[in-house]
Amino acid sequence: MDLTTNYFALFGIPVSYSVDQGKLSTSYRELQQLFHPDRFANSSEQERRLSLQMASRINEGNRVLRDPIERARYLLELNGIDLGTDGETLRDNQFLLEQMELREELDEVQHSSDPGSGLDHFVMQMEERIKEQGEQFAQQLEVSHEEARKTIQRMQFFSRLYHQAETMLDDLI
Amino acid sequence: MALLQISEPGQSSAPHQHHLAAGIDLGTTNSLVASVRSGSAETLPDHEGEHVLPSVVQYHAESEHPTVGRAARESAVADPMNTLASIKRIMGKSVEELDTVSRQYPYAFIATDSSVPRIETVAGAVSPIEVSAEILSVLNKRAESTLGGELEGVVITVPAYFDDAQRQATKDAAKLAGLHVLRLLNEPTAAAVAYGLDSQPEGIHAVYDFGGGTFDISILRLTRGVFEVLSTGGDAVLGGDDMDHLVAEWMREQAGDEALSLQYLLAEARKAKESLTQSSEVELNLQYGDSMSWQGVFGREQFDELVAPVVQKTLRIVRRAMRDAGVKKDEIDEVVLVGGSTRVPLVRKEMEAFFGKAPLQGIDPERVVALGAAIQADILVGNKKDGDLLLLDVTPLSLGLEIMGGMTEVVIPRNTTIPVARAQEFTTFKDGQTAMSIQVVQGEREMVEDNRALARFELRGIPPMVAGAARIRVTFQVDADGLLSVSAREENSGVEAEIEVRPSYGLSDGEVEGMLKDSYRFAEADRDMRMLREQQVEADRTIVALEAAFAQDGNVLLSGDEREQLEKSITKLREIASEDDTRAIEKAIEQINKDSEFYAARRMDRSVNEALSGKSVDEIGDNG
Repeated sequence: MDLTTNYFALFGIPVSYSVDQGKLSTSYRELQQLFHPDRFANSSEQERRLSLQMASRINEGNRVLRDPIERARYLLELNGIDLGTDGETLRDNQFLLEQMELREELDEVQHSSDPGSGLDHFVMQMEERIKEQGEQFAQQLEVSHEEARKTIQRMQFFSRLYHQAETMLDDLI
Repeated sequence: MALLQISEPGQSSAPHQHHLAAGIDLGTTNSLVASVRSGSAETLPDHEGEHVLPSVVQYHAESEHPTVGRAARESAVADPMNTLASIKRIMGKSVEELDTVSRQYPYAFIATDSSVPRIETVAGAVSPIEVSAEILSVLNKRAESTLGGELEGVVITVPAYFDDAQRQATKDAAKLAGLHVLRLLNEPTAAAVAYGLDSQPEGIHAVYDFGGGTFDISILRLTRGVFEVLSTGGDAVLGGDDMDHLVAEWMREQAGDEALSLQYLLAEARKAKESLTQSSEVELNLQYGDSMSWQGVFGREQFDELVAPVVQKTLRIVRRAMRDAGVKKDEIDEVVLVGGSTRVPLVRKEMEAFFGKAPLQGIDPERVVALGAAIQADILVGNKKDGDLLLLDVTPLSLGLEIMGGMTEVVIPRNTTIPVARAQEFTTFKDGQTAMSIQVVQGEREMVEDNRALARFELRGIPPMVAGAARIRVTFQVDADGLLSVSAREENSGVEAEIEVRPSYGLSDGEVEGMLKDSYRFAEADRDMRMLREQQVEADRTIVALEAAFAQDGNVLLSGDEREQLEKSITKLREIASEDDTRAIEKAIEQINKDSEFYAARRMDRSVNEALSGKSVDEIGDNG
């Protein structure tokens, strides 16, 4: 079975950072209707195994294309740039300053009198920032892969803070 | 009037034959079996007309057969050590883990060579898996006698929050009971199916499932027959039992007597809880010793105060699940309450206040899970040829492995849609390191020791390299039942290791086989007969699947020669299956599976290509 088809082709949508989420959802459901293991409950063992692989791939593709950061990484990968595992930090003083400020802000929110709503607000703010960076990424992808790569690193930073805030919200439970 | 057709015994199934299948809700307190009959799902009653089977098993010294159900439950006070109840709460638990919950049980837990704990009874030591198998056997017999034939398969429901070990234990219990499991289905998803097929309401649903021993919340989206679980959360040991324990503790304090037996108090507490769903207060009359007693009044307010912490805990879990789903309260279209504990008025009140809308309650909350399971079983067994209902479920807990410093590296985060496969690369820590130990864990905590250890395996034979040069690719695969398998491969040398995750404290394959063999449920001849029958059914299944494939696309995808070869293999398998050499049948099935592998691959490729070209036609249409 050919599993090399790229995710955009799999879902029948144009290769682009901006994805029509409605179309992706429809396409996702149609594909799972065809390939989910439940559709192969009475098939041969090999067909069941193949359907498991295919359904797994459809789920993974859906996740990657839906997530703003994963989608950006995937597009760079398709352009032959492997981000590898992060480790390299940005040498951008302005951004370093911003990082410190945001970390402080998160710390203050966590220890405020009403951490619940403060954290909720912080989470929304991070979502907004990731979205902004995503728009920037879409433009940079056409021009400079190097700049686009840096933007992904910024998005990853916001995403880490996003998850930290979420964990703090969990801890309030 | 049309005459019903009955096929000759042992004949392979005709294409339009109705396949017998059932859905089983294996609950902490009560269990049920349901099936789709003439188009609608219904729970099946026993001879006395009772649908609910209490999940209680009493073992006897003098009889090989334990008592299961109502009669067993009534013996709990008189014979506490041999009457096993709420066993679901200890399914898939290790001996060590039981230390924390065993004070809630009067039973004699014993550690054995096996990693699975046993309970000492007059009939010998039994594992929770065997106890569950007894309950499943009773339900299986009930279904077979009601439906008039052997079941081809069952769907068994499990709490969405069950981890890998608990799911595996449930599947092992089914195997012991001689059942073919079509799917393990999450309980809230099953409930949504029962409601969904009823009215087809599109939109986002919250299913709050509060049972006797487990709590689950699932947020689902229903769009044109597809149920997508967006997130799930829960607590596998939080339920009505906990309310009973709180009330029992309170009763003991009130009565001021430490000697009151726990079993007795729990039974009284449960009765009081049930009465308080209807009335605002209940008279208590506790008897103990020879002539001692304590009387008092127990009001609903007092009850609510006692159990409020339990209800609050569920609400916190609901909030987290909503955040995981990325859904706000006002986006929830319907709230469905499932499980016996949702009969408690405080639970309904708190839910209504939280969601700001009255919950749906068209279907009996105690039966809805079994009904949903029956609908899914009916589809999976092949009765609805083009049933467009599809369930897309998620992993309840994050899956990962141990990295340096005892930290957990998550490979598949919680609430990932299944089935899923994901790989991650790791490397060696020391120069010349030739082996790597991989510890697989499940849970949300950062430190490995705080999570559930699922399995440990080793990748050996890595060629010596400098530290950090090896590239070990570890792949996690979770199937549609939520069960995990893990494989590891060193990319430079191609050295591989693979395991199906049999939880560290689950039964080994050998133990399952051993139990099947030792089981006093089967005399030796019966046992051999059963194993033969299983292989014959499997052979039949394989042949039916292949022939169905031929009919669909055999003349397009196979050359004359290829088809002839496969048909020869089928004839051969059919011959072997008609005789009684179990091992030979097994081998013949393996062979035909191998021989037809290329065909399965072609069929799948063709479907993929069709799906993809279908898409590009759409594209052109859209642009034009």
